[in-house]
Amino acid sequence: MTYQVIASHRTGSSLLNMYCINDNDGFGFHEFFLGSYDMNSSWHKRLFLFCSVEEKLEFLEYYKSKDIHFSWKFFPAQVLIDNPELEYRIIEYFQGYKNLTIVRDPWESFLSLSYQSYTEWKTSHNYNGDVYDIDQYEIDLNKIPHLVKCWKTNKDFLSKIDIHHCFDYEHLTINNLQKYFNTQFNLGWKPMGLDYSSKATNLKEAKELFDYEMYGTRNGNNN
Amino acid sequence: MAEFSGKIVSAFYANEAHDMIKVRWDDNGTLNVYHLPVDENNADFQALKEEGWDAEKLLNEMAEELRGQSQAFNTVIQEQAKALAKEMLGMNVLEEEKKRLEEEKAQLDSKVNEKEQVLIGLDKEVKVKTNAVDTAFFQSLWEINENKEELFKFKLWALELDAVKNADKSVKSSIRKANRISQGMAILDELM
Repeated sequence: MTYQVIASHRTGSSLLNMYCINDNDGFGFHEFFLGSYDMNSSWHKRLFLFCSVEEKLEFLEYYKSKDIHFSWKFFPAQVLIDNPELEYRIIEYFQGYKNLTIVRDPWESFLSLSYQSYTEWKTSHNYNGDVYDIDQYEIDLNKIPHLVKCWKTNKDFLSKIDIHHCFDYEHLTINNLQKYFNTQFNLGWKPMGLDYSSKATNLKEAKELFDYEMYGTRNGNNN
Repeated sequence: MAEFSGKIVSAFYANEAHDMIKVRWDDNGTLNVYHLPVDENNADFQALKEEGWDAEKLLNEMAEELRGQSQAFNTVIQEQAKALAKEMLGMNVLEEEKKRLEEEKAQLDSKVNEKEQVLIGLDKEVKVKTNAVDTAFFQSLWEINENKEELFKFKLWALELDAVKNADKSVKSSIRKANRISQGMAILDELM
């Protein structure tokens, strides 16, 4: 059966998804529900350029009913925060698939996400060693509540579906993925290798706010 | 005395030889015509002479008759000439009409030829363009052969085909892996 990735941002989901798609003979999408109105974007985004969230879901449901399956990456918050009524359909959609997820410290994920947001996603992944590296950046504190909400929505959704396997972020390496999927496929990606903590100019303030939003306390991690 | 005695209307030489006389005589309203020879021994000739119809008178009557005939002939000729003239006039009109119509026909023929040439030209153009469209279709197909978007659509279509649905898993896998539409079509071709 087909592998699917359900995760939060900046947890290695793209890397995992590439191996899932490879396992499915290259038949799949990346962030399927990520909207785009850019005609210069990648082909699968152009294909669904003006589709609504529901239309995209109908597309997936239709082809599943025809026994045609795609491997793709799902960030639950991307859909469910604005379309909570679709949750039961999406849960039903993932039934029968080998659903994979990744566990990573949410603060680490957040730091990576805030850096990407600040640098406008210039290099979201380390494809070939050329990573956009800046000395300093400021964490956008205004985004913390929303990002925490996203993380919690993702976690909540994951608790409602069958998870086939949960990867630990620290062990999500190409070597381990090759073993897991029994493949020689080598994507060639490497970790970003950036020390976000040392670069953030308002790290302490951000951490306090993050902990408050996430755990209801300003100095701890209850995850 | 002859049957015509006292009843003669006219008498004249009937021919240029002057050896035959034509007598017209009135018999109670009916005009009779009688021919008699110029013969002294003929009783009717003698009776005619007795009524004063001598050679001179016969000649004068002959001239008068000929003049009358000539006049009548001229009238006939004139009438015939008039009729002919009318006919000819009508013919002229018809001729003119015919000529006009022929000119008109020639102009129309010219226009028809012109239109025909235009139609032939358009027909050729349509044929050329029809052929071009046919060619353009295959050219277009060739150009999208490796287009990822079109390739994906092809795969969606192919995977829904009954022949593929009923085929081995390896066939479906091959279609998913195809890098070109032509490659995918070759896989489908194997199922035919």
